[in-house]
Amino acid sequence: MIHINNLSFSYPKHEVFRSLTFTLEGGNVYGLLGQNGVGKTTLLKILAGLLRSNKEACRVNGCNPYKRQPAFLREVYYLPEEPACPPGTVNDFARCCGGFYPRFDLGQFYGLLDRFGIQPLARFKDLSAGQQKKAHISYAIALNTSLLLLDEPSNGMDIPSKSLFRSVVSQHITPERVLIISTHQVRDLENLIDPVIILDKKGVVLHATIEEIAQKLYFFRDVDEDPSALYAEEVPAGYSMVRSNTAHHDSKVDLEILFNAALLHRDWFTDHFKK
Amino acid sequence: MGNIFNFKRFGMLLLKELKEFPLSYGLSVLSAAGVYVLIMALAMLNGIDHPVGIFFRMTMISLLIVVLMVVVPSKMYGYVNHYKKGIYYTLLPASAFEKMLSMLIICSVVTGLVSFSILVLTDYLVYALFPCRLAGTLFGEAGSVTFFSSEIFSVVMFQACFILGNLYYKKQKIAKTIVFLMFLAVIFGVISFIIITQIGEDVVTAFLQSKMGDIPSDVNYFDLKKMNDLSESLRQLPFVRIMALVDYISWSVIGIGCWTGSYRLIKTNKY
Repeated sequence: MIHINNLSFSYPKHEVFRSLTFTLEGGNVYGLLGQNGVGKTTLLKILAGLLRSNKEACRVNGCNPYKRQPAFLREVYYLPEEPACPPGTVNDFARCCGGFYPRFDLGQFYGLLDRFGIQPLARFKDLSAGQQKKAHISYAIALNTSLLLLDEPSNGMDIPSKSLFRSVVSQHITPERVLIISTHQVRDLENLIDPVIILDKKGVVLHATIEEIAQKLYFFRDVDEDPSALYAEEVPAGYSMVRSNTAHHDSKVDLEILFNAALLHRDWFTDHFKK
Repeated sequence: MGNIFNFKRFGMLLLKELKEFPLSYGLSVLSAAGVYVLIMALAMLNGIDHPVGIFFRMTMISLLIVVLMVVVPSKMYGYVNHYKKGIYYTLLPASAFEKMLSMLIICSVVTGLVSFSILVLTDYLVYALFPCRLAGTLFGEAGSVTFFSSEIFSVVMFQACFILGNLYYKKQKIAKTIVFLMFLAVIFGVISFIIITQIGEDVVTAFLQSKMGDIPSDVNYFDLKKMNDLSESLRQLPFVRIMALVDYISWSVIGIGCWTGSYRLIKTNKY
């Protein structure tokens, strides 16, 4: 569905990617993780056709995104971290723009707004930033595009809305759809994102499903720091750690620990998660 | 072909932008009508051209239409190259050609017609209130239609520069476009001056006298009929006809160039 092959991208004074290569398949909610400035938003913008990549390096549904052909655009929606405030009401915005997308479902949109507690006739500018975000997310999901790109979707949301968001996204995903969520709030989306892609300044550190990660890594807590741990973090009851899962224990993947470990032991992760 | 133009998709886009027009630009058009009423009130009080003549009124209406048409691209589509707001526009599933065409229809045709209708209606209302202070209705005198129609082409081509400026500049779009056009005018003026100096000022003056010597110098600029007669007699002169043709061709090249540039910018803008 999405093929990225030797993708390189630079801003005038700053190189973002060099030879980035991976493939994304339908039916998954990809979590795109990385430190500030590694190019998560840039990658989403390239996939949406808002930025130009090197020739043929990026193919989405068989199309070059930057050509911005209507057939491509109607299957892709990108929701930025801080979306602009559209004029008029939430309803007007969805009715005017939704018609361009072949699978836009107005009933579903109203249903999502209702679940998030947003009035369709409310004017966007009268809503708080969090409410605007919820209205935008409702619209983005109701478009039912085959590729949905969400940049920091849980930022600005209250706790019940984050749970609701996870539930809504879980119901949304089908084998034909790909959802890519770029986030720093890994705890908010821990049970939602799978597979995980971790980027650093040199490229992809990790691209693996939660199952693969759980097979190869063991996440545990102990009072004392384990010297064999790839990464250990002090927590109130001792240490939260991750190590190589040589004994084939079952454990729940802790994305924050995973992320910090991956950044600390880049080579170990690239070797062990080589595809 | 479906990726370049689809009638249904274009209709949806045009309808969407038509709906946005009153919200984004309605107040500006009404403000222009208010300015026109103010100008009429001042003209009636001042008494320079008493009763206020049709030519003066038409000039004022034309001027306001030009202002409205110059401002509309940045008011309606100022967000297109904005790093946040422009994303909606760019990702809307319509082709760059459809977006460009819809932009042209809204900026040139819709704005032109709406501004013209509102201003003419305002003039009729002012005339209905103060019939003795105004010299007849706007279209009561022959030549009014000719006057307006002769302006349409130049205004639309002139507006194309502002459509391009709106898509090229990120901020102070109108001001920067005007400064750029003034810069071009200065360059053109300097080149013309150098050419005239090289040929000889006396030679150029004598040439113009020989070509246009029959034109009366005591023209009443407030008299629409005489102004139209003058235009008509000027059009009979071969030299003026050639100059008019050069003028049309130049404006056409500028207009098409600006539209092409605007299309490229819609297609390739980065966010």
